Amino acid sequence: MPETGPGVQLHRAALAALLETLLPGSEHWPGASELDLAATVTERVLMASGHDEAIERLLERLGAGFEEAAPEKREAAVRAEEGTDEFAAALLVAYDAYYVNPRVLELLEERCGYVQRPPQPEGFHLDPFDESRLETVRKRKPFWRQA
Amino acid sequence: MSTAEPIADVLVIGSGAGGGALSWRLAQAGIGVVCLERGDWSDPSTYPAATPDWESRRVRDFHPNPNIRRRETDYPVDDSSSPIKPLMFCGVGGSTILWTAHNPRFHPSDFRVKTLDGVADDWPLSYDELAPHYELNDRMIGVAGINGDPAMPARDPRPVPPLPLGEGADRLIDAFDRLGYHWWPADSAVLTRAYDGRLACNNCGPCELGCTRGSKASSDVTYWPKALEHGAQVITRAAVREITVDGRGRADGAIWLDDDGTEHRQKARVVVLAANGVGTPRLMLLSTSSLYPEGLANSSGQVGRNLMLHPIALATGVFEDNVGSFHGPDGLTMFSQEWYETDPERNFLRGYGIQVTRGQGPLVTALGGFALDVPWGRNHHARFEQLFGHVVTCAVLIEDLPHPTNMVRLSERDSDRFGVPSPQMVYELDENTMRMSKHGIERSSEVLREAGASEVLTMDVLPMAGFHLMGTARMGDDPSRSVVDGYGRAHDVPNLFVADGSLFTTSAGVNPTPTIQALALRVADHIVDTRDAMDVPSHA
Repeated sequence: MPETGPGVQLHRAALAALLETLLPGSEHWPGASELDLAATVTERVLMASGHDEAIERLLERLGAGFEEAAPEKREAAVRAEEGTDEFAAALLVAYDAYYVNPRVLELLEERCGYVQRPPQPEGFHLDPFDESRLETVRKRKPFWRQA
Repeated sequence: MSTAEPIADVLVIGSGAGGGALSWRLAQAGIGVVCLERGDWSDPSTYPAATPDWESRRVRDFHPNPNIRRRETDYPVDDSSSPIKPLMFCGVGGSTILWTAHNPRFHPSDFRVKTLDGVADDWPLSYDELAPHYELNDRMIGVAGINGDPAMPARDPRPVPPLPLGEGADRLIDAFDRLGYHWWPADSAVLTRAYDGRLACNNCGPCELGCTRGSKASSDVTYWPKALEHGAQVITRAAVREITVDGRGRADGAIWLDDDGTEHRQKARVVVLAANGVGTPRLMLLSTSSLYPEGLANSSGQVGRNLMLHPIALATGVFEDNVGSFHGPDGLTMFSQEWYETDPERNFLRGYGIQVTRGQGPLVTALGGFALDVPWGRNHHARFEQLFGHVVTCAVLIEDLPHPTNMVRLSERDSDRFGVPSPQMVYELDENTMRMSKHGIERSSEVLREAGASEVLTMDVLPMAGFHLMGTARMGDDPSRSVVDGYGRAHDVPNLFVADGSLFTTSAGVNPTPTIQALALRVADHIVDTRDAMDVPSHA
């Protein structure tokens, strides 16, 4: 499996901590660490998205010791980065990895009714448009302006 | 430089909505067409909708913004001076590949803005003059919709019935009716039944990632197959650098660059620019010469000016129960034109339409989708569950007025991969637009609350919304105030035409594509009718 460059690899533990800060677990949803999202990000998402350098800059700014810091301190450090391009890139790759994870897709189906398959080739059934719904608006007189 | 290519009767730059329609019409009339297209043909079997990471690709190689997508065939657009970012696509079919295919028409009043409302300029043609071309386009592309809308003049029946609304939009109907506000199912260039050899839509959803079934009327599956049958040629990966002129100041072809940067010269008797409202003025401004030192056909100084983008405001209603809003074609389902026509009682001129859209997939929902506030961190999952599948959005599409200071010019910062200057968008939102944004959000919120939304999330102006690129080589009868006449012919250059959104004198409050295509068909008919005067032979 191809991986990203050495910059992000050197910060692998910090990346995992960053992802867990962005996507911690909850009662029903797994956190980033539980899914080993850092592996997905380094092995797949960064390669495809081209955000390696931005993530590397962010991890460098978060600094040594970020991964060992208490969750509250990590959250404060990340919040200070909100609004930067690097933060936007981190959020994008985190969600990109999370919402295609098989376990997350299972939960999306179970809890939200979202079918865990690509939209094609099956598509989805929707009831056809019911013309009787136009009954009220059809009674209105034309109101476009003559020109 | 290669100059071996024979002289084309008509050289078309760009193969999108306008270029496709015009090329078919010309080829059908026996006119030899060569189209230069910067991008590639798309293979629908490779579109993302059938792949597990389909939604990820929306934020990567299928992102609508060329500055983010950054395909080899894209050119960057300098958007540093515009709050609304450019959305477009380079490839056969142009931006219709990523289009969500809403297919509304202008109102008759949209062509008489100055006369009726005292602002901007009248168009040099009327709704009635354009109507036959709207009808022809509807038949060619297969429009879904239904007659009887009290907001519009009567018209021919649509080829196929409307798209399904889905539960979310269906909830809004009773609210619109109770409040006495207009609504109507959207006209859509998506087939609800098989038509003209193309499959019906199966409601898969992501129209904006390309349609794997050919149900959406991107011009690569509608006009281009028919144009090719009639002998039109498309040269892909042809990045046009300049329109050339002869000693009399007439357009005589174009210089284009292939993948290696090798220059080619395509000679032509007539040149049509159809490279969209950003690409067309870029080429005109790049095409300077001793005869046209300020750019081709720019004696008025209007080339690139009057850029209009249709600012969009958003109101998203959140419902307690799941309305399944992630299913169904993700263009709009229904619309309201209650506030479309100018009303002197309001504090703005002209008007807007409310377009009811579906929700989005999980990734885009998490990223904030249409005005959603999904936090990262501890509260992410709970908020995500509140919103995903529970939302209906009213998008307020605003008619922005033309201003000479809103423009496309050549960037001093960016260039394409061949070093040719990029276009720069310079755009400011005016007070009239912001008043409409506020009004539209208030009315949308009223409807959403009436429909049972427990919460309404709003956004004054959506940044990633610059799909409608209009006004930058506008039509008009006065050569000092416009670039082309009512047939798209340049006032300064009698064998140069425009056939894209650049033509628009004003923007109206509806999506522009069917009007672009109707205008392109009209331009084509005029070229056919006047071919003798332009030395264009008949091969029919």
